[in-house]
Amino acid sequence: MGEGGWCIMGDFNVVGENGERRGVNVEASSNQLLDMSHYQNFVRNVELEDHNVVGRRFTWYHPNERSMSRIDRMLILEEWNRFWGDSTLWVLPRDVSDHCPLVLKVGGWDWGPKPFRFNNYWLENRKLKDVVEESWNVQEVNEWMCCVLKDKLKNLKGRLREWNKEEYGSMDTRILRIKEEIEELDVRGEESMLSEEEVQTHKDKFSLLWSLLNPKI
Amino acid sequence: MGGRQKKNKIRELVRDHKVDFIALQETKMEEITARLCFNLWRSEDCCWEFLPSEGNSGGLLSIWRKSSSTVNYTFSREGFVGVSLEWGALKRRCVLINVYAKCDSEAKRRL
Repeated sequence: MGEGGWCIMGDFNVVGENGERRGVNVEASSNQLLDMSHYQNFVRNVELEDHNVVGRRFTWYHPNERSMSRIDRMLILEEWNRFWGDSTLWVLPRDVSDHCPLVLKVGGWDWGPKPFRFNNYWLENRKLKDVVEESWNVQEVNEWMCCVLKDKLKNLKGRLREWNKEEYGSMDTRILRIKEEIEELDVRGEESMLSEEEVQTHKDKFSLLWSLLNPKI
Repeated sequence: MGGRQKKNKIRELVRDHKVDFIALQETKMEEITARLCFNLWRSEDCCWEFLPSEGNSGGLLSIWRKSSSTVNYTFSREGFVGVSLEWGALKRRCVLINVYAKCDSEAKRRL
């Protein structure tokens, strides 16, 4: 297939083996089996490798929360690894889709320090002025004059980060917590059938998540 | 991808994971505009290639960082969009294919 690293990724709408699906009908239909064998032949003939995943076993979940499968994947030619070195394929929690996003990460984990961002919407908040003034005045100035400005800015940066968390954090925390709860149910559903009650809870959490995401936009 | 939540989710992914290349399936969009790509990518530093959806079904979109890459060629047919790129300062060649297989078995086998 020519030189260079090849990577084929997406929604193949087929599983590689029966263990990659779970559902109400445990037995695969003859059509599914045929699709599967076509897929397996393709992978074998082109000498592709199925990139193993971490994070979750399945990538797609039926709204009934009982059927799930690993139909989204990344196939690579062996050269790919030589090309890019070690890589990890993460299956991330899903929220607005019935599919989980897949993220391929290559190389180190060090993402460096978090940059400071000034949010323009702070300017519309009446409390901002007080926070800045307070932070600016409260600091003791007994250093070299040349360092005072630098230190004051540095401290202000920290104070604004804290303030942002206090003032706007609760919404984000709530969204994050609901996503975690959905994730927990998804993962539990992977291990065993969810009860009717749990399926309902799951649905409720989704509608709550959507309603929380909406006003943010 | 019609809804704002889904677009926002993609924007979040691009930001949080410092994405170099993204492959989207089931865009359900017949036309992809520069404005949409710039919006998803959060900057104009991107190139893209797409396969239109058939009405409300399918549709593929690949977006990648323009300043890190040179495009050798692109190719697409029913069910996939491929790009051959030279990536980074080392000009490493790679081919990235974005796939969406329809549920329909006939179409799947053709692919």
